[in-house]
Amino acid sequence: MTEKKVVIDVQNLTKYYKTGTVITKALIGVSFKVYKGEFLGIMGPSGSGKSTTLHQLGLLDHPTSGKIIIEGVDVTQLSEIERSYFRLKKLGYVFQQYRNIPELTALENVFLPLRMLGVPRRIYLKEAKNILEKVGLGHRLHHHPFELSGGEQQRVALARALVHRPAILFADEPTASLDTAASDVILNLLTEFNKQGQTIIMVSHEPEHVKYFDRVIRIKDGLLEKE
Amino acid sequence: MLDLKKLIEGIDVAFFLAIKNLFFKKKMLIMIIIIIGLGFLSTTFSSSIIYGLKYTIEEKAISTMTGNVLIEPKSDEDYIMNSNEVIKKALAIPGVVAASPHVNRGITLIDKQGTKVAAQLKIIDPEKEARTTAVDDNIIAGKYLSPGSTGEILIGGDLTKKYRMQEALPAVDVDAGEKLTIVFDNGLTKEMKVGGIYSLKFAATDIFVFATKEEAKQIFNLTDEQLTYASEILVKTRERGSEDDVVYALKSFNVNGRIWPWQEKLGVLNQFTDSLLIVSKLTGLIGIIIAFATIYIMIYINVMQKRSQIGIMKAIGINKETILSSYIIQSFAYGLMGGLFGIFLTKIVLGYFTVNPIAMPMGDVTPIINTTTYFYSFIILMASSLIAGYFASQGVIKGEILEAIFKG
Repeated sequence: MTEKKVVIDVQNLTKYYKTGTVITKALIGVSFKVYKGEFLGIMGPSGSGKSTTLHQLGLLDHPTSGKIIIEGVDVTQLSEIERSYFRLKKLGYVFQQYRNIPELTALENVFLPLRMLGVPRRIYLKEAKNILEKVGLGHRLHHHPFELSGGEQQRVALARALVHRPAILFADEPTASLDTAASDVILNLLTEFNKQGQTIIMVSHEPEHVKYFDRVIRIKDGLLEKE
Repeated sequence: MLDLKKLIEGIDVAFFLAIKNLFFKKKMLIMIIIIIGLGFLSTTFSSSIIYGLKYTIEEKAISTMTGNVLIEPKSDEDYIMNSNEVIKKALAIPGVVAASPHVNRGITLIDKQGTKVAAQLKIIDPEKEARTTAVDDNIIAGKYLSPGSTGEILIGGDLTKKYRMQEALPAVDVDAGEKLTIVFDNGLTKEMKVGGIYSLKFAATDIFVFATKEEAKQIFNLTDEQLTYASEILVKTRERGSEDDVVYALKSFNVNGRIWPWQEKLGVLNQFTDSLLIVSKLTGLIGIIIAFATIYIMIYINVMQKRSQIGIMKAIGINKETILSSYIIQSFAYGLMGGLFGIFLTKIVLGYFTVNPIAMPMGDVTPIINTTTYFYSFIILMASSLIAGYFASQGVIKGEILEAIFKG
């Protein structure tokens, strides 16, 4: 039997927030692995630490202690510039509130990471169009986010997160702001991309999302409950 | 610390983001350009008015009181002897276009009501004076002195009740064509016609009385040799700036007298105009500070409104150097477009006031601005834009990603 390749190895991850003299323990010694090509769900009640976990893995925040090894790189040891480049090259992120850049069209939002990576114009335009077509927005290339519905905006965000073929896609409750129909579209797209080999880590508190995940880890009060 | 390599690598994206940002809200862009343009106008306009005022004062003084270069007798002598010889030497100097000798005497003017006003009489050759000073161009009543005319005088408007600029000035009740009794400093009294009245709207120059040499010859009983004496000789150059060369040349010709460029001769007036220049520069500086503050506030508000967006850009891997560059490019563009609009506005406003000068007690003032001032104002505005853009945006951009996204 072939051994599954570890993409992320989280070791004893701890995150404390300090507000004045009050220390909030958001994550306490969390350890788990994420394997290449899997669709991992991180679930738990509100305030449990699931989004905090995602933020640490996605290099949006600095853990208080512990290690995060992504594709063999201990990302907790990277400098700010290295972290920035690592995010650009290896990671994709979908937020709950779409978070597209309002001044840019759908196409421009999507090709932005590729342009930042120095990909030639002809290629980044082609790649951005391709992925927007894959998410069903081939006819909305030149629309600004405010001209799109919530579901369409989230599909633009998904296309932007995937256009550079990241090692891992992080999705932080990507359907929380969407109606059921739009949510289904997003979840089906995520499933489809996962089937094509994309590693996805998604935070959710919706029990019905479990069916989409290959595996679920549950976090409660900053502790890993069970896998 | 900013990484220069990353900054250069991301410059293409920075330009892209800056342009998208700039033209996304066109009304806002137009408003910013107008505000910066007005800031530029306030920088250049008020200083150009003050500079114009300084220039006007100097020009009035040069054109009546001192010429570009003034030759006076040695301190122990009353007159420059043989002024014709001196003028001949002066006219031989390149750049000198005219020279006019004056003999200054004290007189008292007495009108029909018996009002007495003391004044200075300047005995002139009307033709030479016309070539050297602006008196003949500023006749407001009657006419300028004719060569060789006798029995008539030309007087400054501030000596007359009808044309004086301030009520407080001592003046006689007379108009052109009417007569005045004149008491000369040799005791002779003579009734003379006021042939003309001049006014340069400049208090320091509108207080003289002019008469011809022929008149002086009769009144003071002068010989032909005495007629060549001069209390002062005004020398006119083609343009300002060559005075020191003319002074040097006159001295090298061994001209017998004290030779002054107009700046030295104006004394307190020159100090006053120099003070105006300082005020002009100060006004310009204040204008630049206002423009700087405007750009800073604009960029700061813009950045604060886009905190969340900045967080997202950082989250997707756009480094802070690129984001910062995009905001600096934006503020540079604001400065550039605002500055160009400001130049356009300044040209229009200055054009208007050139055609319609501002009436001031010392005369009609036309705003003056030169290319160098435009250039420096523009460069300072550009530099201010860059600095304001950097400081307004860097604080927000270097912040934490999550804070920017979720608290933005």
